[in-house]
Amino acid sequence: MSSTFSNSSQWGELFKKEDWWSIWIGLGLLLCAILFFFAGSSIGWIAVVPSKWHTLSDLWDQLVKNAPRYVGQFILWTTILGFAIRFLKISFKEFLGSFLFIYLISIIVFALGQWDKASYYNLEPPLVALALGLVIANLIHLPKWLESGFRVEFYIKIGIVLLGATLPFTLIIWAGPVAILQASIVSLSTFFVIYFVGKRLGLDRRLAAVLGAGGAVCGVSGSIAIAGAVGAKKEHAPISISIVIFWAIVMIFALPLISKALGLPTGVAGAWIGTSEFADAAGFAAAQTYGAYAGQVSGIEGNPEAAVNAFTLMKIIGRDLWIGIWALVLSVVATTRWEETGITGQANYGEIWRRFPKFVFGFLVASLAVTAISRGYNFAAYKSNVVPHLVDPIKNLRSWAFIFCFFSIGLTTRLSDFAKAGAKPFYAFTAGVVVNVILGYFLSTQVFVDFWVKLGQQ
Amino acid sequence: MKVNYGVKTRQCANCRFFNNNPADLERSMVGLRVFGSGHSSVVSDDGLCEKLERYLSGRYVCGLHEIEA
Repeated sequence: MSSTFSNSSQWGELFKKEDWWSIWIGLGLLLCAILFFFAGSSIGWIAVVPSKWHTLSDLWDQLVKNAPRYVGQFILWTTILGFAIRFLKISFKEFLGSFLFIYLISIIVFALGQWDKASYYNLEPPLVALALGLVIANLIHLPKWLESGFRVEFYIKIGIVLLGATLPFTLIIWAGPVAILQASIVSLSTFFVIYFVGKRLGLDRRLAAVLGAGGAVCGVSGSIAIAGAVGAKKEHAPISISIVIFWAIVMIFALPLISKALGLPTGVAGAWIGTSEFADAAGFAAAQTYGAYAGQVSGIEGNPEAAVNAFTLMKIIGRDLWIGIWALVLSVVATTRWEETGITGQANYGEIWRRFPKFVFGFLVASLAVTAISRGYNFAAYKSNVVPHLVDPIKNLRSWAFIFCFFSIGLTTRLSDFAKAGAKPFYAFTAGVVVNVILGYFLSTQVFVDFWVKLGQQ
Repeated sequence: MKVNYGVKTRQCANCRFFNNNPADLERSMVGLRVFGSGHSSVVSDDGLCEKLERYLSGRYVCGLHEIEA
């Protein structure tokens, strides 16, 4: 048996949890970018990304020309991620081989997305990375050691912290309350639908709550947090996780396609995806895919970044932040009102902090820092100086982190491994999906539509 | 709300049947790594109890507690 718990060493969490490491890495990269910027330079050299290309020879020429920059970037990612990985007790040697594999495929996926006909053939990098990962994981037997680098959550959290640097803090303040209101309406409705349908179908209350949190709050993280808080049976969380993964992957493809068919503006689609997708990483894949349609597909209005921005506000600020409160409330209900399980000890307010997704601090600090720096420039100087020398390189690094994540989603999704969820949990969760998607669509496109359209125009 | 975890040493986290090693959690909960992680803050100090066959907070207490050797 192995336990890493200690009441007296909460500071140790700063180096044991990947949330904190995503902050150290994300803010560390941002700090470097800011220092270079104030020194009159930029980290643009190392934040290289493939540029638009027309023919294969164009692509080959730019890759050869920038090869030293890609090597430098690989060394940078390997060094910072590898350092963190050691603290998370993952073998660096295995991680190195695994990450090299991820990085090389990511270059190909990224480059494919820059083809000038990529949109025409629906070759958006998030979908290509995900589909490629799914094919590899389910058709090829990969060695165990190769899995060391498939850290979906770690990459997405680093990407979210970096995303903070590209999202004005004033926008978070302006849009945050609406996002919280819309997300709360949908979260509460989804939770109670899943919980009561589950109970009606004869499910254990704890399983119904775990499923409800998976659908209402933050997917796999919601399921696992509530499973621990209520003392669920050991099979409850895997059942919920399997169903969440199924629906999250369906939604990655479905929400952008439906939004595209309906011609939703980017901000509106991002808000809907933020309300109705079940996992952060899955939602970013869907939102980034949809953002790429702006300017490429006729009838889709709004800023390409607005889909990701609206999604982030809705999912991170509106839903994820509240996981600790859900855990506290359900823990109290489970220990005082539900059938006894032989365990006692009620949660306290500390539960809110312990389960708080700490990477959100990094996201907020990054946003605050770049917003504060930008205030010293007029709009023209911001566009000509701050954006190309500070914001764009960070955006490029964020794009890499997201591609590592999207590819890892596919690579870790081995369909044959998943727990057999059973029909009743699936029906209960699916009832929540139906309510969630319809209510999320109604709120995004009718009730708060002006707000999300406006966000897309900023 | 009053915090009352009882005697710290009797909390599940200190029991020999309790395991909250992130790598073990990821191995035993298939799919956890797809959109989650055993190293995440939301996991807090939760772990699997071999005796009760439950996934629970390390701060819980139960009558079957046995101190880790």
